[in-house]
Amino acid sequence: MDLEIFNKCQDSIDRDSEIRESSTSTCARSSQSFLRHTPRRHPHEIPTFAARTTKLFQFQKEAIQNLASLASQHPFYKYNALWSRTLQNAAFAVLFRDWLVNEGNAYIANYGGSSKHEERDEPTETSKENDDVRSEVGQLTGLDRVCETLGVKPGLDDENTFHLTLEEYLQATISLINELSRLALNSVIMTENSNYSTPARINHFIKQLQAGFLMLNLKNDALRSRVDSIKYDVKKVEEVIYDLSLRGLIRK
Amino acid sequence: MSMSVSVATIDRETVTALFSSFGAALDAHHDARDRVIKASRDITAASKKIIFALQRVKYADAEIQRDDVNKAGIKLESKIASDICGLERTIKDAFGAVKDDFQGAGAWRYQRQISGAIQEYIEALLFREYLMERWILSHEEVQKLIGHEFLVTYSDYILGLLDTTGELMRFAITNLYEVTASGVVEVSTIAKQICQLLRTLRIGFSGLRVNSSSHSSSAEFVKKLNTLYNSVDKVERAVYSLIVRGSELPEGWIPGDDDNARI
Repeated sequence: MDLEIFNKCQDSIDRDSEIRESSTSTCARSSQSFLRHTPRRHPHEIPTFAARTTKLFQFQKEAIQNLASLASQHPFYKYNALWSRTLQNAAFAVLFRDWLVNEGNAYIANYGGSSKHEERDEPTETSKENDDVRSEVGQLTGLDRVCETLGVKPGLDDENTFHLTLEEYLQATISLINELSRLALNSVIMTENSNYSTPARINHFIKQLQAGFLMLNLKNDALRSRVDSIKYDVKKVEEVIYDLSLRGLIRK
Repeated sequence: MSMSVSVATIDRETVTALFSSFGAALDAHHDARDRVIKASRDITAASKKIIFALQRVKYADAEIQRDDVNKAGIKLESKIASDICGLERTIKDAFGAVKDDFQGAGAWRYQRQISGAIQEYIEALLFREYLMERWILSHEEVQKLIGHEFLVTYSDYILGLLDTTGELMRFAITNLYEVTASGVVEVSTIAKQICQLLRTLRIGFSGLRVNSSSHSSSAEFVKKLNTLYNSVDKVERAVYSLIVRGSELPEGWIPGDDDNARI
């Protein structure tokens, strides 16, 4: 019996732990802090606020590029699990920011750039109609665009290049739904001026996405349990809508 | 590909189109994963059967002498040999059925699903090779036998080798003694050789430094290492007690002659 095999194994184990350590520390650095820097803002403030987060996204992009160059030295799926969560969070930050910017722009287009025009005044006929039109608006940033923002080359899941996987993107989308269900409440809580139109659009948006997720054949895996959680978000937002329409604060 | 829209306005049609493309990609992935899990189960079952078949070998009847005593081996009786041959074919077929899923990025993508089967098969390969040729196959030799389409990780090899030690222990215990031409009961050559081999492996394994926090299979490793320690202990005790107590046996007594005979 040749004991040489144990030396080879030891080498392999050591190499492996080295890679794990360095990629974990890179991940820690790239974990984005966008959300911690996102106090709840009124929609009309969002575009200005989003511009101020550009630096954070740039920082995140650089960190992910470091991770990508480290990871590209190995088969993609060998260590994928190490950074999968990090990429999911990063992708979620992009989706959330883009959603907020879109929402903010739509709000300004309808109500102008100040919070003075609020639905708290009796809504006029025209703003009601605007509500109808705008209830259709709601945008989800696609996988490719998210990759672009993260500085990751888009790739297919059966390719060995460093990329954001479909499952990671879908997980990020569910995180967006989770976060929007909070935002529906928080738009009402907002100290200065309550915002009742955002919850209505969130309601529409997440219901459409929920219908989309129902189209997927899911296995009993991590994605499945997250998808199952969507219904609680939908319920939470529906309750907000119910309360608001009961009191005539928004149109049904 | 419709998955690559840059920004999707969320209305019914867009969502339907977007998620059907997501669904198709997910289905393909899940189908591949299921195929691998099924093949993995077949490989594991057949490997276990090979191991059981080998455990049924009566060493004393099967032993063949070679010029080099350490290279002695066994010849399988035709029934066991043909059983094993059939099981080998089952395993080859199961591997063949998922070969395509392991191409390119798939090799690591589905590695966790096949890893258990590969370990079990390694165990069967190592055990058979040791009994037949008195040789522990190296990692490279195992990789060659399984085929380059499938990845044999060091971790798979190590865990497979650890499982093999358990089988060797059982084999040593069931083939513990032999009766010499002069009718004396003594410890069999195979038991002594296995005992020596297990002690060597014990030294090798106990020297491995495995970072328990960084390695997913390290908990398994620690558990199997303890089993190895127990196996070595069992074989050492068995050989020891046969040497000590065997000398007390009445002259000319042959195991199996007496229905109450117990060793």
